[in-house]
Amino acid sequence: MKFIDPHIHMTSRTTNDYESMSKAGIVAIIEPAFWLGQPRTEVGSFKDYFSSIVGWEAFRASQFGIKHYCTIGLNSKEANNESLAEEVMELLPLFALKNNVVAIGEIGYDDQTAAEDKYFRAQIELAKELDLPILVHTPHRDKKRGTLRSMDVLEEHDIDPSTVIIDHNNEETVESVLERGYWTAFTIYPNTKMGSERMVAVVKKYGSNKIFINSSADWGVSDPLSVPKTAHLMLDKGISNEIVQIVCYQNALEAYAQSGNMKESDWSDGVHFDQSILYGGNSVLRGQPPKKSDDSKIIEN
Amino acid sequence: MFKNKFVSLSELIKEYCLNEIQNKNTKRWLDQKLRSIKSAQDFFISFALINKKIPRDHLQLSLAQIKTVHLTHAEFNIENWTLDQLCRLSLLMYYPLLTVQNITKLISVADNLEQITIFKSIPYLKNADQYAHIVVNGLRTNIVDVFDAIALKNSYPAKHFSQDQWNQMVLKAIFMERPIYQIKDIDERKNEKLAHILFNYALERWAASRRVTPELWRMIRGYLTEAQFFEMKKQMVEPIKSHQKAMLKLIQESNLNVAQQWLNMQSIQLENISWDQIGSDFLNKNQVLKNLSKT
Repeated sequence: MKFIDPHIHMTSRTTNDYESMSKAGIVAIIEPAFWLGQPRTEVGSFKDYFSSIVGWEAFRASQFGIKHYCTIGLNSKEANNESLAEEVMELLPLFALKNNVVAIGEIGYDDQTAAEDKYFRAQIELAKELDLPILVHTPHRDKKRGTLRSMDVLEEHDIDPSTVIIDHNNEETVESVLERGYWTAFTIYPNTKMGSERMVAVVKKYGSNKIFINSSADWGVSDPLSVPKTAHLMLDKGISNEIVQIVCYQNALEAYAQSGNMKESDWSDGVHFDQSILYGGNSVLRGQPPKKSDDSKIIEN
Repeated sequence: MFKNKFVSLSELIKEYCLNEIQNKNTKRWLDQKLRSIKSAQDFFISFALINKKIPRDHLQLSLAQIKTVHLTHAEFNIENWTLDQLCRLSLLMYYPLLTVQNITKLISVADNLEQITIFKSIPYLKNADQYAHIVVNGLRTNIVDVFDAIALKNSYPAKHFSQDQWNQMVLKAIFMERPIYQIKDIDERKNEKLAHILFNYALERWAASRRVTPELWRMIRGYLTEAQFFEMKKQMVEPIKSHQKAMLKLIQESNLNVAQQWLNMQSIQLENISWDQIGSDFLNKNQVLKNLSKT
């Protein structure tokens, strides 16, 4: 079975992760622009970060046969540094038009401050102008109110819900997000957010329409194999192959294909930059022979 | 088209781009941008927008059209360019405020496809000689396709690099096993210093029981010393395998007496194979291995 992990921060992950992700069947990933675990203090740090997710990281992923995309945006936490935020806003259009960018994101609310609101709205307008989907990060704290407010604001700006992915949903938010026609994404996290078991129950209850899952693996305790592991758990619990494929691959593809920059043919015949595989000397592989993928099952849940 | 008058490369490329763009709005957009870019920000955005507006297709050119370009602009191989790349080259050519500073910024916000196009374009820009350190910096990339865009089939390094810059590029190309027979003027810019560095590199690889690309020996031609010959001889174990063909060729083409005497004592059939052939054979063999590792 093939998988897409539509939310994962690979700049924080190792080549071991890439290897096991590829082995587990992940063929494409999306790396949303986010913060680095601590706030940046210079606009140049943003520039180099954006540059790495539109360039170097895509190359690194390709060496493991994985197609890499990203989203570009000013995250809600760092939107609170207003003078820096202004400078970042000027950078965004330059990066948002790149060939592997599939949305403006992840944007939205953290503490739901006035500054967060201001840059959320400005970036919604940017997405409109550039005709890109939007990836909305919903807050960890006061989640339900933050989620509803995000959708209200999007609608104030006349955004079509079918071009928006509302992320990090849980049992409390899923119904209203689905009802209002948004793509409804769930993050499977070992400790916070959703667990795999809970996700199985959500899919059993709400089906596969507009729902998809991701790992949001980053620099914290998280699991880059969340998507394939949850998929296998769904299968074990009697959810059909077809539904699992929709929730773990097809819906993410459909949502982000609206950018015009993501299509199945990007990976179905192999990933473009993989010509580098044999040139071990200066590549990420550092002289290792390329590993052949095999079909042996992934590590258990 | 363009009969009986000299057409500059920039005019020619502009004409070809506009002819190839099917969508009328897109054609109008590009035409307008080539006439008047208002600011640096306008230029950066227009350059980025090519990704959305222009397909990444090869041009639908007749042989006659390709010949026309070669006749007037022998240095420009239009068949190696896709439409999006040509449109970006046009934007660079027609942007009146192009400076070292602007190109540096453009590269710093570029994705991989854009970087490849910028480095392919630089040799054809006005004041190309000012951009040498930008191109040298570009070679510090770890992204193979960007490295290739500078090192391979690109006239810039041979024309504008100092000897040290040139040598660093060739050494890195050999280290990354890039096909150096595709580097422009690869034989013309050979030098003793490079030969020495590369021979030491080979010794280091042998000490670690690793192979070196057979193309390396091309760069030693004319500089092989007796001491080096004796080192090479140690590696030549019969039966001579295909990867040693290049070493034999170097020994054969050297004018060292010891080397010629040694050759006469061997029962080896010397093949008449060109360095370019050695390079392309090696590249093809790697390609086959790559496809095998995929399946």
